[in-house]
Amino acid sequence: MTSQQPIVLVIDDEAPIRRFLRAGLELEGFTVLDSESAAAGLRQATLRAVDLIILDLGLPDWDGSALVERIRGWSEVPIIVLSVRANEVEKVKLLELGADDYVVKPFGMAELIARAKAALRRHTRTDAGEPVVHVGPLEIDLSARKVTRNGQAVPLSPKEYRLLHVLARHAGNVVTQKHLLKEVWGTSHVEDAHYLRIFVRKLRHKIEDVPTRPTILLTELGVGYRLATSATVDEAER
Amino acid sequence: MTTRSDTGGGSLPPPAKSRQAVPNGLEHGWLVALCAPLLLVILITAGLLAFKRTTEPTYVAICYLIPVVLAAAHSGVWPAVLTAALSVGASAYFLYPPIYSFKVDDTDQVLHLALFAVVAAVMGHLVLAMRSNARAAREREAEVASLHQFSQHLATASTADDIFAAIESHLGSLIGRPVIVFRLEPDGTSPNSLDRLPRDVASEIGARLGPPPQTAGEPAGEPAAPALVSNWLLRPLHQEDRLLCIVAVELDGAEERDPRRTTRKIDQTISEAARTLERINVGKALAEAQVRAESETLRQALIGSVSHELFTPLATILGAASILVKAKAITENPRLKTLATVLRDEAERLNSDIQTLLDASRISSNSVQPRMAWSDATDIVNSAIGRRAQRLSGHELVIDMATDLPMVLADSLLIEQALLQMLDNAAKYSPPGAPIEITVSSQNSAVLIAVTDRGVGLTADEIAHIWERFYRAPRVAGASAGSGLGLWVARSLAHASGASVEAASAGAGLGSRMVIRIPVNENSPQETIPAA
Repeated sequence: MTSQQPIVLVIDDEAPIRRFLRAGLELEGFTVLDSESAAAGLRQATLRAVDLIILDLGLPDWDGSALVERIRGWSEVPIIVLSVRANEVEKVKLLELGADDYVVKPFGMAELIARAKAALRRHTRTDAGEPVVHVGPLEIDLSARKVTRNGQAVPLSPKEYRLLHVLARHAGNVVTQKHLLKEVWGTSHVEDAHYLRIFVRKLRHKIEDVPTRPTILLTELGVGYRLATSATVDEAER
Repeated sequence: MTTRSDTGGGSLPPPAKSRQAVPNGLEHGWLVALCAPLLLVILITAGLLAFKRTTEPTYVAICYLIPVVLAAAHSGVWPAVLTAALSVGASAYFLYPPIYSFKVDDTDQVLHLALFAVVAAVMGHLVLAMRSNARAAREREAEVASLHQFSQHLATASTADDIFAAIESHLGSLIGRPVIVFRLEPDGTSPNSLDRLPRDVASEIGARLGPPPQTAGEPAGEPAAPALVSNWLLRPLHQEDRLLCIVAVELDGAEERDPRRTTRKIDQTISEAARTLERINVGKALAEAQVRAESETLRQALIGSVSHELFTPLATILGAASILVKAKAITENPRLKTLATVLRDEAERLNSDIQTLLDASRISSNSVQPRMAWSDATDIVNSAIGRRAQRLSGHELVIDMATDLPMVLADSLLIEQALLQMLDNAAKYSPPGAPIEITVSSQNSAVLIAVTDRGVGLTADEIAHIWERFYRAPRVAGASAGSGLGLWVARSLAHASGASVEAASAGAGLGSRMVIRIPVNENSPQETIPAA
């Protein structure tokens, strides 16, 4: 895998979408392969070593979740899904099956690029072990398990650190409520999600400039939470 | 091939009293019927004796009429006759000389006794007639009530299933026991309700509902004749030569022994019902229900395909526009940058307009399904502001959110959509650069999300109508385009999530304030699980 020109596989049955995705991704320095069906996409993914897969959920031949499951069976390659609005249930299901993130059609290219790069970074981080995640004034040292804000240490309880750690490992990508509950509290009961909300509120008081207008620990309504990255911050200023 | 329409647990009304009502507690009834008049006769005899008016026959006769009439009204013919006889006996024995003997000396008194008997008979007969008339009237009233309920069910029925459920319930209440209706199913699936019946019954029903015999000339059999299979009575219902359904009634042991009588009775009921059905034109209602169901399926398919058709090109336009807006070659040239920006902004506007239309359509077809969860109102507002960051960039946003708001039970996505409509509204009707204030606060038992603008404001009349579908205030309708759907969608989505909306304004030109009010439950969670 080259970090110079990462190879992206775009799987979408609509030609115009493939075209603008190719243009946008190539402008950002990606090499693009595309397929117009799940079967073709799967074939490409097994033949070439791709670094990222962008997958449309409305494919005619396969159900998106079946495809994600299939791919995850033999690869940890980052997957971003293209979804439509008002389909939170499906989005959450795909995230739980192993997709890294999603964008909702119609979307802006910057949003997709930011999330794709975050997913790629996570991949390399696992390989190379990049230990420190920077988000604005916050620095999260994943191996030393330390969090500093503008250079000053932030006192966090073990669970608070754990939450931040999970989000930081996926920095820039969304993490579902269920995943967070399981990783931090060991429960996967989504009924306990309200505890998560109150917990996040308290955490924001410690790390955000304006706790009611968070720029670091962002909520993704109906899905989960996302730790912003500088790319996310830029994109928000579009 | 056949199906059973499910009336559902609560929809079957308690069966009306059957025409052949057998009184419960049989022994009890008769005891009361016997003892009560006896007691009354004894009481009256004792009373008359006590007052020593014994030789006045008129008093005697009048007094004894009371138990006779009571017995006739309460218990029927024979108790009345018995009471009359007892009364005559008692008066002859105890009251008319010679006392303690059934012989009566005075012919006047004998005449009076005879007259008493006659009057008692007439009165008893009249009372009996009144009683049975009253009973008949009650039964007719029950029938009419049942019919009324039936026609109401028919009027509100929107599917064939509803109509057959109404038929089942109506027949059930007429006959006084549960009835099952089996009908022809267009898609030919076999229902599992048939499995609950004994095999021979099920096969008979299947045969009758199945296709007609292939060979012409073969006698079609008696299509309308009822059939008795095992302990089930099956009666086909026809309408204008078309088999509508088969009505199945389970007979109990007693009726099974004399099925002909039960059959005739039930048959009679069903024939009457069939005539009613014809009059109400159930066939037509069924056809209409089918058309309604088809048109709804069509509409859903249309919405589904329209949304897909519209969103794909829109996704391409927005995607491409978003790339152009950032491309170096474009940003270097101010005019090109303006072009690209306007392209992107208008595509975003188109996007939200189409989303509004789709929301309106979902609301109209009742397909909004709220998913309630404990939510932080701050999150909802931040998400909405994020989505409209571009569109609101021409206005100064003043954001004021209280800390430590209680959690609310809501569908956060629906509330966000409602808020987006309000934000779009504020931006649309405010002059460029004017501030828009967004506040989140808690008050009494609710969390309030308020959007305040310094725009065209609202008159009292406009406030009254502003949430209506397709309403556009005449004052602004000329100056700007719009569908009149935005605020209606906002209100509908807020309501779906259990919240309410309000609009207020100091008057025309003085800006407006729109509020989403989300009620707070007492069970709002306040504590985290042990954080450690």
